Amino acid sequence: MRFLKTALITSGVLFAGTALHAADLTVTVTGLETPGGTISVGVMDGAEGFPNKRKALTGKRVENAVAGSNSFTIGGLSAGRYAIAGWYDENTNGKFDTNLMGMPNEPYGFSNDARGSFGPPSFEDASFVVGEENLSITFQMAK
Amino acid sequence: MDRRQLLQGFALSLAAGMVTGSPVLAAGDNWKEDFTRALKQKPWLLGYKGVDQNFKKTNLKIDGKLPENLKGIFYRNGPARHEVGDLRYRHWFDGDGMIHAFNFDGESVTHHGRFVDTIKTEKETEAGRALFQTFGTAGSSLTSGCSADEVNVANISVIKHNGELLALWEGGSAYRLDGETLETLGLKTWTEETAGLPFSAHPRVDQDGTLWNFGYAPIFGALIVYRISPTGQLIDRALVQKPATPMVHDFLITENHLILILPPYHFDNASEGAFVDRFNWSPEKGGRALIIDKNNLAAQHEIELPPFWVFHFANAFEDSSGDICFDAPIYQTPDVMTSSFREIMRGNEVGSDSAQLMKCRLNPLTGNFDMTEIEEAVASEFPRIDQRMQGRRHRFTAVMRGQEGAAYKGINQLMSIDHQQQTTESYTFPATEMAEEHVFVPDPDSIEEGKGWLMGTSLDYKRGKSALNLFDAQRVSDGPVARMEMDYAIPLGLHGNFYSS
Repeated sequence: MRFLKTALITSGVLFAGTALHAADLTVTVTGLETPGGTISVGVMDGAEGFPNKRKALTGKRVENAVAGSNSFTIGGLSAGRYAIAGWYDENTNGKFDTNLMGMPNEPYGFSNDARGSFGPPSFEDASFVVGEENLSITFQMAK
Repeated sequence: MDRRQLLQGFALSLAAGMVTGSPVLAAGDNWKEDFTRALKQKPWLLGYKGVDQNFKKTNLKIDGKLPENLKGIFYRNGPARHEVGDLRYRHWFDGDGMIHAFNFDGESVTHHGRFVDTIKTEKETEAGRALFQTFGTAGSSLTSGCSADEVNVANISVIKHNGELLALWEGGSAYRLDGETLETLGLKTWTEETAGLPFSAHPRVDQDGTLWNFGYAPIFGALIVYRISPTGQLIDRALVQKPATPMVHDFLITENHLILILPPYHFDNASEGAFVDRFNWSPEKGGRALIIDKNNLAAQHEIELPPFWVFHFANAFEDSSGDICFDAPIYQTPDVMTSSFREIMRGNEVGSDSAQLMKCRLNPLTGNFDMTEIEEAVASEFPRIDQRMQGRRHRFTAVMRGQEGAAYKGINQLMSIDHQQQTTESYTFPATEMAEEHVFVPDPDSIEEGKGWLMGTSLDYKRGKSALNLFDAQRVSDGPVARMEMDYAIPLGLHGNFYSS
């Protein structure tokens, strides 16, 4: 599961430009057991390299998250198919903590609540379509 | 036949060994119906039927005389829920683990049993059906889970270390339990860096109280070795990269070494299906012994071995020449696991080769290896020793013996082997009883090896009642000195341990 490490740390920070005709995406992340950590999510627009070797198109960092559910908006998405990968820096050490074999020790999640088998889900399983209208999605973060 | 011929014969049969595994989940199969039908014809299948309720605390009737100084709790684990919703599991090792506790207070004996409340059972109970692939069951309605602990059934053994009771599986974490109520307290995390990593079911307690263990993680192509202090701190660990990871169920310690026997039974990461079906038996590749320096876990080397399959070891020690000596029930192939213990779950009797108790000798420097049969101990399993001799030369090994070629039919004999005198003593259980592992319980008033009792359960399938048996370890052939019968049957289980109070 080293897959998550690079992608999720950088995804909220690095992103490319925005589109002219853009929809707002409201993201609700549920399942956080402890408050005060930092949520990072990255929005990706294709299967190639998903999720660890693909740069996020855009993303969001939310500090001082509350326990339970947190909502935020990511603006400027042009019509298309996307998937979101996210993690929760529970102890705010700036690292996505994993065990010796790279399995996550901190909560993580993907849009559609897609889960892989001992690894990440496919882009297809995690993806959703954005059209002209604004859209809301909800997914859970869990260890 | 002299010893040399025996060895040659055994080696040849090992080399010729082939696994006869059978396919999983053919469409239209109904294992539940098949098993129910077979149970009517073969009442001994009761041991594989399974239960879905906990056992409340019950006072057991005592036949015979309990030693006054025998006080403590005998814990035993094993797969117990063999059916979830409409699904009957396709392998004996699949079922959700249940811990049994037999409490000796000096006068009375009580029994209670409780399922480990795993992440898996919580999710499946909520869903009302089986959700996850298991050790031996796969199918389109089942998913493989996100992580090992999501499918952890905690069903192999149970130990107490530093006062903490732990239910053990081998694919994921141990589960922490309350030693009195058997309530599940949660997953055991030694450290964050080992969270969720496999922690096998046969840890070894060293002379100084150190707990050694290992885990094999085929998905990640690696083994991990753990050194845990007597006070429960993980003080060292080592990763061993091992692509095409072999299945390893138990290991050995000596004064200076850890020894992992790696059978030629390798995981294929590209394969799909139930866990056990993703391993390939390749006797032509031979086996290996991985030898690790206890004081420097990075100092590792391997020695080539003939191909054989083994679940359990009795004990190992180093003799004056530096040879590592150990005894273990050795199989020619893993057929008993890939075939017999699968088919029995639908009531089919499929024979497989039996384990022969062997004395093995391995030189860690020259790589020389040889093994000798302990002739009387054919069709043996569940070897146990006086734990006080762990890693040191032991005099006694206790094994359970069954019907040759038909391990699925259970065990009907307890045998104690005296390596020093080269004698054996045995007790044959009544014809309608299937016996299980018997553990050595030391007499608290003696420091002499072998002075104590052998304790284990058996199932009288005809009467539908299980019993806990207690033998004088040095007078096994006299039969049980005490026998505590239950008014009910408990599923055939795997491993346990007794802890004095």
